[in-house]
Amino acid sequence: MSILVNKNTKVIVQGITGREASGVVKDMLAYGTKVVAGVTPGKGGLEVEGVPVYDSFKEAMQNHEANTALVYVPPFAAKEAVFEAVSNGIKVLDVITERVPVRDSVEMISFAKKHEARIIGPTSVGIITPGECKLGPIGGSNPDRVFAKGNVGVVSKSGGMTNETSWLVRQAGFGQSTAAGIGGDFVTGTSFAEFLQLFEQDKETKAIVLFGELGGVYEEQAAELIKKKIVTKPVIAFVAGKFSELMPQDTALGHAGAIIEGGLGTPSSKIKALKDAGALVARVHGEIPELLKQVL
Amino acid sequence: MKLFEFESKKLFADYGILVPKGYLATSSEQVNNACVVKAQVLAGKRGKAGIVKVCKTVEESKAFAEKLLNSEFNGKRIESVYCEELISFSKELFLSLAFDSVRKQPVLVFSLDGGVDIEEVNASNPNAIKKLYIDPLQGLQSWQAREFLKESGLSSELLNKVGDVCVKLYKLFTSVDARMAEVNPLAVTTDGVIATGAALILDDDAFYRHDWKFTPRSASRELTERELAAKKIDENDYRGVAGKYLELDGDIAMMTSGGGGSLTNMDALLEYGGKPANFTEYGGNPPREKMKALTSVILSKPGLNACWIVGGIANNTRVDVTFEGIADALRELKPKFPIIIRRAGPGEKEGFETMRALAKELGLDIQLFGAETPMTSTAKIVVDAALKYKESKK
Repeated sequence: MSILVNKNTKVIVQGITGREASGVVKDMLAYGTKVVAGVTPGKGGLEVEGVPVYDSFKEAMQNHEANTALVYVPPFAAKEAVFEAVSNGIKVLDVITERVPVRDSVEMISFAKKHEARIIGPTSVGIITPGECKLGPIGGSNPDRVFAKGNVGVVSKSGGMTNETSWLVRQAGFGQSTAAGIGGDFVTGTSFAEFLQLFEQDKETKAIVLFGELGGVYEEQAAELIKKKIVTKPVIAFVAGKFSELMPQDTALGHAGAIIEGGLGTPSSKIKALKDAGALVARVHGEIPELLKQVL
Repeated sequence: MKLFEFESKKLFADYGILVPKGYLATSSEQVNNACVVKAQVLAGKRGKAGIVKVCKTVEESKAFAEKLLNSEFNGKRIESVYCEELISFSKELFLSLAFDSVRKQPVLVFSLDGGVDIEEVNASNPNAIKKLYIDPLQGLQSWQAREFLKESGLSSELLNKVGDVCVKLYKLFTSVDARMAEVNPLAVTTDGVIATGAALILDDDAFYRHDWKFTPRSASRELTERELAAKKIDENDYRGVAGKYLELDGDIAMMTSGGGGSLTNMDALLEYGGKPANFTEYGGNPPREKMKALTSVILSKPGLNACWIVGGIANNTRVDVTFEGIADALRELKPKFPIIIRRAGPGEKEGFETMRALAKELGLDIQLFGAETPMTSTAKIVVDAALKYKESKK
């Protein structure tokens, strides 16, 4: 078992003809991921790494069976790419695109929700279930160095640190059930809290490692679930960005932030919330293996 | 991007929200009436900081403007004041639009108790703050605004007027791609309502679909010489990012890569008692020339006792290419202080070989660590090395 992606995942890559996307498709195919088609409007009929390219998502769906979309288009096209995939029946979407305006993000997330589809990202580095499916750039061209089948779920706001955190899991002597980058955007498709619940329901996962960062309240929201015992599996957490609190702070412009987030959002607030809820919080990132060994 | 009040007010007016008449002044000579004199800075709570004042005579206005324009606020010179007509009002309302990250939708926040103490109201009497979550696919319709305002205790008399401001504010919020659009206070006068306070933050990621002419700005202190030099590195070269540099007071030069990795290693250094000389973040596979330029900027800071080149297992940033660039700079500068490196990723073997050869050639004190050593374990090594080097200089 695993979450969100597995050996039955069949992927359509939107923006497949881009330089970066085509490189990632090559790595995905090498890993054994079933990339069935690509979509780039105006480039129908081409092939990328042997994968056929279509002008529209509908056409790709008429010719192939697929259940997952990898969104690899420029920021200005991200919202429409999501609407297009969801309108064609896709229920799992991983948005790699960075710098998507927040307005576009909330619109695509609302649209997906109405159609019972799930978005991971924007700014996701991808998601991997070792030995079954690698979706997106996660793990680069040598994923086996870091990822191996196991029972630790990894979820991270930072793309690079998804790798490094998963590596610490390996160094502790364990493997990963699924590892995912949720992206560090202010509004994200699938938050830490939602990932924790997915891992809670997954039989394979025995412990969860969470890499958080300053800003937003997703870490605090996750802590709330642990506190309420909705998530009962052990959670090891690290929150980056404590140093920012030592820097001179400006008085916030406007009051909306303070009112909506209620003074949360700093690394200290996140660490406190997670600790109070019962998560094991690493003081430095390199402490994660030690904490993991305590619970497994 | 945070906007100055005078810029926000202009946009509010463009979207049909009534604002007081006002003008911008950069010298006290330009001030010519009894007015509210407001320092134009990119921070909130200006009233409490004493940089906004209601002036009853033209002399008072000029004197206060003179005082503001010769002073600093948060390490930055106050460059202009905004002078607004005096408005008499009976009540102050609060109205704000922003995104709620947990609900993942826009939220309209309203309170009958607006004004400078709104955050205290939120803390002491949260029931006085009302929220309306908006379906971003549907937008805000005027009946929804009226229904919400009525339930929030607004009188029938003001319902249409404030409802109208809500709809216009939402139109503005979405059209300009704001992260936050706030009216505080929305003053209730004998004629209706007027936005005497306005704040606006624009979404930097949406700038590509607007033709803004706003001047570049930073909320806090002016950029240092090194920060300006670093900024230039990325300006004319889109390949990778190597121009993020924030100068700090410490003695350990930081060459950190990746967003999360850079934060993680800064934290680790502080945890072990080290003092960073800067914050930097490079990534996205920058070319050799950019890495050389960045290294030169970082190592140009006087008083360094160590340099820490640290990053995780890179996905796509070439270790060999980035290290070639770092080596180019080291060859010119020949630093005597210890250099601690922890890195892994594509081309790591070649990259490490470059560093080993360079250390031998120039007699540099370089220690290399690969993926087998956790990143943050090398924080302690660099802190100890810096201390030892500092002692040896005495």
